[in-house]
Amino acid sequence: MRLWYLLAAALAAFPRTASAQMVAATAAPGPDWMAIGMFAAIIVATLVITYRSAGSTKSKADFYTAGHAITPLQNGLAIAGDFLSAGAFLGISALIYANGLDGLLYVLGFLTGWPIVLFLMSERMRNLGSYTFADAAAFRLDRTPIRLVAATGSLVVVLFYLIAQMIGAGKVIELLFGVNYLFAVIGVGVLMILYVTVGGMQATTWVQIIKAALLLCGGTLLALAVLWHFDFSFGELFAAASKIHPKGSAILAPGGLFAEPVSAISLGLALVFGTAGLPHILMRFFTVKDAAGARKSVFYATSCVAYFCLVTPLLGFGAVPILMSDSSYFHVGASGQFNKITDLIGGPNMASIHLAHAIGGPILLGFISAVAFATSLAVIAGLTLAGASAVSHDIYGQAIASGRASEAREVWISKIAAVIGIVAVLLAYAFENQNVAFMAGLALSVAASCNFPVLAMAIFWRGTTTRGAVAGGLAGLVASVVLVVLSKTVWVAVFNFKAAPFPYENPALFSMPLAFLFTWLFSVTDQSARAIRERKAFDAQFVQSEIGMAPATESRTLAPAAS
Amino acid sequence: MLQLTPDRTCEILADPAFKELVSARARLRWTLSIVTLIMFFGFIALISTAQGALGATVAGSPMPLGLLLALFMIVLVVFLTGLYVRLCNSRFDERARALNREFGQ
Repeated sequence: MRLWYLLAAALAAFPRTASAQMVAATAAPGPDWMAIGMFAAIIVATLVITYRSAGSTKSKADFYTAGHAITPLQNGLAIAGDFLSAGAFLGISALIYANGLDGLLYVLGFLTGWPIVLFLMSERMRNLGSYTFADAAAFRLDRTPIRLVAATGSLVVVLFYLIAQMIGAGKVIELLFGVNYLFAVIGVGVLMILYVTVGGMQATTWVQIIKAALLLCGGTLLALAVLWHFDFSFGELFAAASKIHPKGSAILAPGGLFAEPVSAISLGLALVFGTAGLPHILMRFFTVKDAAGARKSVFYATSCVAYFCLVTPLLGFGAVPILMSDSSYFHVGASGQFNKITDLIGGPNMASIHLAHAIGGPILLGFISAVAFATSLAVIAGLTLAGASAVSHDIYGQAIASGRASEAREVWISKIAAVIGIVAVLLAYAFENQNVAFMAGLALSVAASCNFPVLAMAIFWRGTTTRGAVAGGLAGLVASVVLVVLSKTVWVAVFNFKAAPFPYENPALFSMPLAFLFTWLFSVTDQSARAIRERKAFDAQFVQSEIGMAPATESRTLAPAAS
Repeated sequence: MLQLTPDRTCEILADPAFKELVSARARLRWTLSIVTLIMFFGFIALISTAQGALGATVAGSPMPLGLLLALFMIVLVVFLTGLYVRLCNSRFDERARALNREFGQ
């Protein structure tokens, strides 16, 4: 009965997919049955998994963490699946397609966050917490204020990331199938609500594993095809690319985009430390048995991300000579002229998709489109789950009910995921034609300036008090949001003002140190009885984080606030 | 499971084996973190100061220097994470488990 309901919902999510094919002859490589078949296969496979997971998702631990029973390899793949968004897959290859080596800075930033997550976060998270990163942050601090700050930071990150992802997914579907954008976004929303509310962490994990495998296979296939096209000679590939690219051999030198060091450093900080503060990533450390498992998962995840980083530049560079020499992939003007970057049908972000069509025909196009779709779904599901757990576990379970809520009730509240889904659909619809390029960047900046400082100070510095952590977290959150609004991407591109008061695109260089400064300042000046108790409790937290070996249950009652 | 009463906590903190484990692991953690960060932000510094040099092709290789450096860093990141996981999961976890057992009754 339930399976039937899921399938019906999925079908409703994609109305007119088939008929849309007939009318959408405008986009160059039009939709085809191959792609539709693969999309359908992915949706059916993930829904079957969701249905089967539903049976084993009863308790709180099942829902948030799949009972801490995911293996490190599975978790590593799922982390990679959670992290490598469609933005990373399509966006980085597009960046390299348009600018050449400059895209590499993004690639390296994406990757460099991982060792930091491993060295500083993974084992302490696992040893101190059970469900969300706020567990670790609130270990010895006053649970209500800390959880509220952590949950607010998480929700801001989740919401902005989610909107950016949903718009991307909606656009891909609209372009490929000619489905109305609203239906596309609703379809994605329905799927993500089903995955999360019915299947919980178990289903979300499997959606992410499937996606990671598809993404790595698809990337490999495309890269091999590019190399084969150039007789496996890098020299020929780069020579052909710099010959036809409007920027010529400048694409082989970095610098154009990031010549200005302040912006580059700020972006780098957001990429590296933002990764260490993403709630949906940190949450994944609780799905494994212990700290050793958490570390191993990060190693597997890093390997996947690194492999992806090696492959993506090939796609970007390969697309240059293959696409730019074929005008059928561009909007050609009346005079027969076209801009080799901006006139690409669907924009530069579609470079990899067109590349698949150019070298593999409709079959590869269908496969790569399906990969891009699965990629969006997996990230969206992970984000929704993280948002739902911030509300049900941190805000309701711990802050409001002070940890005395019954498990069943907390899991019931987590169905709030449905509300998050609906809000995301509405926002994605409202922002359809807005410039949303800033949203993913803002999400990372908030993660780096609110979540990361609060967590890092709480677990590494004895002096941190509740007052300091709250002040620091709020300062980082407010500063990063305000600075993004005052920057060119919002002030000029969205509000249409002439000049932006904040001259850089990314605020992390300013907002992150501010968060640390506030945490320090409001902690050292805090002489309340609570602050003294909290500093004293650092010893126990320290021992627990070093040799505590992962409390698998929540029988831990160390937090001074609880005593 | 570890019961951390104040007395027990003091006892563990004073334990030489615990102290050694903690300082060895902290050394490894912070050294590797700093190496990673220097590498990444060093690359950013290079981008803004030595664009020309990064774009030059290396003799005997079809790739520009910047790309080769980036590829090298990608491999190095995997190596560093692998090294940390290996050392922690074999050597350090063994000692942490022993301490956990010793103080865990």
